[in-house]
Amino acid sequence: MSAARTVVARTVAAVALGAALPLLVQAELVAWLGAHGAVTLMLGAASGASRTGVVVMALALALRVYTMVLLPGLAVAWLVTRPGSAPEPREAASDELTE
Amino acid sequence: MRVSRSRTWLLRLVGLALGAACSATVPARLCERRAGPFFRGDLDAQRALARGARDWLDADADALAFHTGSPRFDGEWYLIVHMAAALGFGQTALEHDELRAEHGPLVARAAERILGPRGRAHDVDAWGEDPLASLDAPPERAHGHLAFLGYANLALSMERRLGGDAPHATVNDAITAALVRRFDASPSGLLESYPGETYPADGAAAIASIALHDRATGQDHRAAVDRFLATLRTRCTDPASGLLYQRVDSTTLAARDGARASGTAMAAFVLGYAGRDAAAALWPALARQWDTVIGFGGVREYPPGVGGRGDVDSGPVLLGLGVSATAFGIASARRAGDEGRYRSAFASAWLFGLPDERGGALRWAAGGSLGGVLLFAVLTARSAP
Repeated sequence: MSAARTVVARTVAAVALGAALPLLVQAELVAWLGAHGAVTLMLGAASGASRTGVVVMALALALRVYTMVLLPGLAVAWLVTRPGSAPEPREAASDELTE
Repeated sequence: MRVSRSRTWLLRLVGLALGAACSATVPARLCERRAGPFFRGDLDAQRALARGARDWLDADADALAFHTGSPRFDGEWYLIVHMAAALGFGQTALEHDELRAEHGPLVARAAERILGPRGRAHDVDAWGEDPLASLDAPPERAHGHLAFLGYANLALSMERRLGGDAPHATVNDAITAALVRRFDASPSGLLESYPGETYPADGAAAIASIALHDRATGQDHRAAVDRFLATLRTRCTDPASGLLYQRVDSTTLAARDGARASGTAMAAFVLGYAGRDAAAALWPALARQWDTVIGFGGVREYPPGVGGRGDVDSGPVLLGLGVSATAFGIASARRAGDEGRYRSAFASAWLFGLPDERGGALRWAAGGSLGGVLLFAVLTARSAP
């Protein structure tokens, strides 16, 4: 029971920190850029109203790549290798018997 | 026990492989799934883009501050933002009659800002004379002023093309006539943008403005247009790659910079307003430069075997793909009817543009005014409006 609770807690923490928080932060950064004027990267070197703008833009783009490109792959890898996917002790024991 | 451990490792390997495969295929598919309505030119998709771009025209012009560190580039970007706005609002009004009443005044507003002192300050600084005050100069002694005249006139010709009482028709006629005289009198066939600097893409914008003016007014300057296109093809094109030289010598037209995709894609974008044939000649070279990285498409800035970094023309070059060439390439892909390439570049724009959809408007948080308005113009570009 306690082991199951640990797994649930870890899952919730992983989803919250790995997915929900980055998505939330990214949304906030995009809103900030919209309100304060974005940094124009399109035709030249970074050109913005402030250094803060450049940092926010870089962070927002990094989070965008993380949430759109890396996260789906990480989620799939995690689903496949999560604790529940590993061989159960009984399975493992039967593996040992087959040796 | 050995089997159990090996199973765990096998599982991890499978998980890693599946995760990598997922990241390599799914994100691009997700990002391009919205491209269809834009490629087809659906009214709602174009209206959302227009609403996002309109923010920049509604805002005080002082809000359009650029900080490139160069007054010249700041001025160029101010001009390009408004040229792209005029083209975007104009071509969407031509594609959807429902938008004409709303977009017509926006084209006129963009033209008004272009003709203001700030729209041509970079050109005045470089030449030491006002390009609009120089229109009546004898052509053999007149300067090119193509860093202003071509792009400004393209916006004015689009305003004219919409019909009705174009508020800037007189200036449009005067600039067109001056450009034709200067191209006719030019021994090389090209004109300078700045003193001692000649860029084929700037000449393409000027020629496109003449052709679009012709379409709007019924005048005929085909001879000047054809002569320029022939010069572009025979003197300014790298025979190996088919790309245009970014810069050429003002007198001999010898290459002063390499063949680059950003200048070629921009020339193709503006030449689309001169007619399908004018821009179509550059499309095969751009299509060859197209590449994808895990499904995200873009245009390689440099020809095969040539390396280089990003600059103010190309924008950032990531894994060989140029931001500017890719953005302008979207317009050519739509005009060529190449939905596959359009979708792949759209996926890149959707990933890196930080789209922000609220209140029926689509804004691009990463692009600022320049990127946002330019994406509006290239995503909605159509042939010979």
